Amino acid sequence: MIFSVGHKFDVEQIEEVEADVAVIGSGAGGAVTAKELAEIGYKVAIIEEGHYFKTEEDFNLDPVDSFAKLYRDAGQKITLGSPNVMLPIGCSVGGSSTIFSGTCLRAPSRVLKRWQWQLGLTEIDESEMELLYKAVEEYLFVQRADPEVAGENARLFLNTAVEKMGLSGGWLPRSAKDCEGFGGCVLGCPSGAKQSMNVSYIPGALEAGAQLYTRCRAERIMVENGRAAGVDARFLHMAETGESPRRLRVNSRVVILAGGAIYTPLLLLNQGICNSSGMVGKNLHIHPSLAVVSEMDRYIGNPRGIPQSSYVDEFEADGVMLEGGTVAPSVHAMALPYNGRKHREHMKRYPYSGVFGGMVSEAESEGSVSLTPRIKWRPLVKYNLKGIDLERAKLAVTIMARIWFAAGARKVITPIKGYKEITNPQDLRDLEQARLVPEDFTYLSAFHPMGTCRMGASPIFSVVKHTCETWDLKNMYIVDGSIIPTALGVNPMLTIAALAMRSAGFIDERLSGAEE
Amino acid sequence: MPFLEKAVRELTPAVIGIQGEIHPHELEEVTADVMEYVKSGTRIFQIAYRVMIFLAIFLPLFSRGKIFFWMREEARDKYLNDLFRSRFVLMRAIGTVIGVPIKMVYYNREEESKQLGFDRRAWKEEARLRAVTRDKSTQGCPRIYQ
Repeated sequence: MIFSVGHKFDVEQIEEVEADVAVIGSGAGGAVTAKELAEIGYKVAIIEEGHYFKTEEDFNLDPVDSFAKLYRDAGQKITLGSPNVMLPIGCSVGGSSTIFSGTCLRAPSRVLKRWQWQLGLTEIDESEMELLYKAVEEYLFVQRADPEVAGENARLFLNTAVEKMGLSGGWLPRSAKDCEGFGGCVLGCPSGAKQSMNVSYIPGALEAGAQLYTRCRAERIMVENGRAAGVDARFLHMAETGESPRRLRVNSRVVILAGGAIYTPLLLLNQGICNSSGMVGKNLHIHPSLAVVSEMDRYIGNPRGIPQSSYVDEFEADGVMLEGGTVAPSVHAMALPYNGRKHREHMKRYPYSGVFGGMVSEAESEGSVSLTPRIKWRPLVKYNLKGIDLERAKLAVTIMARIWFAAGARKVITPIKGYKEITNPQDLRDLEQARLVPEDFTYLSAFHPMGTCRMGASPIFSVVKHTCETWDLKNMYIVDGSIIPTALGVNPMLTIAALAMRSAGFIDERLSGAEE
Repeated sequence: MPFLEKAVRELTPAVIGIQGEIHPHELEEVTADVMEYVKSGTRIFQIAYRVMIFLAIFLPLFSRGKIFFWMREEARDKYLNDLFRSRFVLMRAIGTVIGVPIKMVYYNREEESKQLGFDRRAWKEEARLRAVTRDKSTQGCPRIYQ
């Protein structure tokens, strides 16, 4: 242990650790590489900014408590631009996987082809990805959602869409084992059924000998002779957001950065490394998502069931994917476009309300992540929804409205100004023909940030190679959503995990000397 | 009473649609929880929330000749919904943002959520009995540091 006088005259305690691999972040990318490399026998140190919450004690289905514990900024992160978009990001051991829906879809073939043709990523071929997907799916118990526990909301919507209207759809593949549908995926699974990283790959990595440092923020990548040589990190106070004088220095042969598509570029931009292409923080892709609420005559009983268990992909080629998404009453209340008595009236009918979500799955709009002036660890996320994506968002809303009406809805509530309530076919036709501007969308959330350190075949337009190693800094790898170069079209967790597994193979080659 | 707290206290029954129906003691509790919720956010969110609340209270002085505190129940209800219908983005943002913590906190109360069918205590107990135990291996793991 080294002692030095530093920050604000506190006596800094620096703890030094030797490792083969330092992993920053414990989400789908970090956890998978950590486990794979620890199982080979490498000494792995995982650094995670959030706490390690446990299923039994901490995941209590309380939305306010869960948002404060499991989400960055208590889930209040929004993008700047038009419209403002809520951007929920996880911050605990397991990263965003702890609060994800469990949906595990493979990247569509056409997206992988686009990567090959547009970005020169010919090494990432479908047959290899299929093997990787299979391995991850097996470890995470990926299987189709059980219609018995999916909940009435999903059954009604899906049956209407598929059987009554002839649309293409089905039950989603999910990483869950013995899920009983407690309706709280986004609050941390209360039974441990959802196989997020905190209950799957992280325990696997620890069992294989990895070390995990929680409430510890990576602040700097150590660089020696053009190579990554470790990580400087700082512990945070347990109950507060403030920094403690305790520091951690991990001296390692390889550094894996897996902080997610918002915080990975932030760390690199703060330090000014790996950005010869100028692409760090650029090319932000998200899946803008909207929900349509229906008022029904029959009892629906949300949120009991699997919040996201079914999908309608009829319009996938048009860049629209519908995936169910029920939420607890307090979250539902927040998203309704009313105040006062009208809000109360609707909330009283919550048990008779249906809700389904749709996302612009291949949005072409791009945003960026940059440094906030004078605030070191706060990213500035800019995003504007534009062009054809507005039409896609509208399409998602109108399809969902049509399906709810076919299912017997008396009224549907949309997040579009001027069309908040639709009660008859004429209103719906008017909406379909309307020319919308971004400001017309009153409530949008976005999941799956991607692309801010994109992968590509050339250092001119990309940040990492197909192996996930950065072009600029040897032995420095990035394995998270930021490397996915385009909007993926589906929930990215499985693809991030598969690419991380692939990258672990290259890192092993590097460390064992087999590569040279 | 600080301005923000007073404003939240006045806005809560109007936003939720329970003017004249909420017990003062209950209102105190909800107000305290809203303040706590706002504090849990980032400094930027806290500042933005204060600004929105300030605007929500004083804007009707220009449009209706009186600030929110002086308005009657009916007028408050109409004003808050008019914010949502406004063609100005800022107005709509005010209508949305002021309501987020209030609605979230109010409907998160156990009696409210239970009444709406979300009995989280019972469900958690059921989940505990049906726990899937893959994560047991980390209990007492000597390699976790914090």
